[in-house]
Amino acid sequence: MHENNTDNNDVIICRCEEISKEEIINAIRNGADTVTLVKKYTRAGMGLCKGKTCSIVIQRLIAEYSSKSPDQIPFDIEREPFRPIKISVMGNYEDENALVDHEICLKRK
Amino acid sequence: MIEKKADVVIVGGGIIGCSTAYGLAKMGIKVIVIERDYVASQGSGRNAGGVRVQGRLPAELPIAMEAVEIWKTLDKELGINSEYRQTGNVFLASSEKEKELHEKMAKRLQKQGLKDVRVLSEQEVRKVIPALKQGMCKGGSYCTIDGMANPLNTTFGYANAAAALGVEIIEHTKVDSIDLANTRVDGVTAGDLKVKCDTLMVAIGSWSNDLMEPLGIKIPITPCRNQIFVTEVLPPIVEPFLLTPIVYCNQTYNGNMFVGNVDPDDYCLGNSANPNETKRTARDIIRYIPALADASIIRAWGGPLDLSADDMPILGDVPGTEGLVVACGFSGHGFASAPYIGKLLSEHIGLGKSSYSLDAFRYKRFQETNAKVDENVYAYGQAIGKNR
Repeated sequence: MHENNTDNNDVIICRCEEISKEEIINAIRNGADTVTLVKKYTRAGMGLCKGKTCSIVIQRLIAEYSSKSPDQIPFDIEREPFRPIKISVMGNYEDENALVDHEICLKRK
Repeated sequence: MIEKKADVVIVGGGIIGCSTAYGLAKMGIKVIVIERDYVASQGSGRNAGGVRVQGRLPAELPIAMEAVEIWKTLDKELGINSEYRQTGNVFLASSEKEKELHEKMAKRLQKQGLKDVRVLSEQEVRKVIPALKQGMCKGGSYCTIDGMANPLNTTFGYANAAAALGVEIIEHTKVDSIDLANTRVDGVTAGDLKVKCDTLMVAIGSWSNDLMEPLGIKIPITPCRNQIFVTEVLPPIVEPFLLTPIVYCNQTYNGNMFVGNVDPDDYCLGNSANPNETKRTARDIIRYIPALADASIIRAWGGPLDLSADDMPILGDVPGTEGLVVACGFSGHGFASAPYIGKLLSEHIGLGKSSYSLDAFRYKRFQETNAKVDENVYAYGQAIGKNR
């Protein structure tokens, strides 16, 4: 992102959840000092791309407002799955170990 | 060494800590909240947001019912959008025997004043949830005043409202120890911060014993994993909060579907989901709601529930240590009732008397009797424990 081109606060930073730069700056001003907290305050990064596009921009915006360098601002925790996956695919139990574990789980109960 | 002083110190920036701080601040009492990570970083920010009244134990029911009354006007009070909606809550019965237990439970709840609960036939359940596959239940218990809300918005809302009334919320600060003067609470030490106080409330869920054990206090709670995966935004599929014996789901205000499960045998203090359990819940939710097969999962996470020995929270004074108040062991029932529990705890601390007696939740019950889950009173927590 070129800082010069983003004076417009209406610009959408998180395209999945349609969160504008203004909303993100408000969150930062209200104390969101990590990418995770901006996500929890605004939903930015909660969408289908899992923050792949907006995280870096948010990281830079936090850095800008806290006078730190971007690499001092930690990214959000990566949660599984690492890319979106259909429930039917997740649930088909191709992983035999998972199936075995589950059966042990049921027996134990 | 930094020294501070407050009337009340609350350890834990979850919804219980923040709502109690808010209640105390309204009485003009000076409160400092100390949070290890950030507000709502644990259970208060990672639960599914169910606001359930049905399936409550007898002592908890009046609290859950009164909490609903507070939920109805909470947005206005705190100036937030909690996304609270009364969508209803359906608890499926997988066998005729379970349905009988549901009927018994509904009668007990009705007798106690909850008029909005009734047991439905399978056909009636499928009218409430048309997406439910035929043949997956023998009916279910349905409570129309139940619903859901956004846990993050609500907890942040309480924290901000408390802060606006002068509560100091200190984040990223781990309390190392409780300081005593003889048998009385004197304050807490957190790194190079020392805070003196008259009353100390510990509201840190599964971590409560870390702080209390050095004082010889051991609360019978066990952390177990509650885990959820969330889908992309979907058109409306399931309106009420749906509880089945092996998996639950609820569709948020934005349209994302939460699918989760509590495993009472999975001892856990972490924040990740167990991948095998994600696979298992994915498989099982499609058995109930086939329309979810093509929905994409975005993320899965977990978090510990603090299951207490009798499935009821521990609230109030800790005898032997004057000035110490505890609030933990919510066993997964905390979020829904938090607006009223915060009010009760603030009354207990600020006025020495609460508008609903906390006696049933006293810590001492574990010393007086061997308090454990009552097999004769069928309630939700017991039902999931049995069926899994």
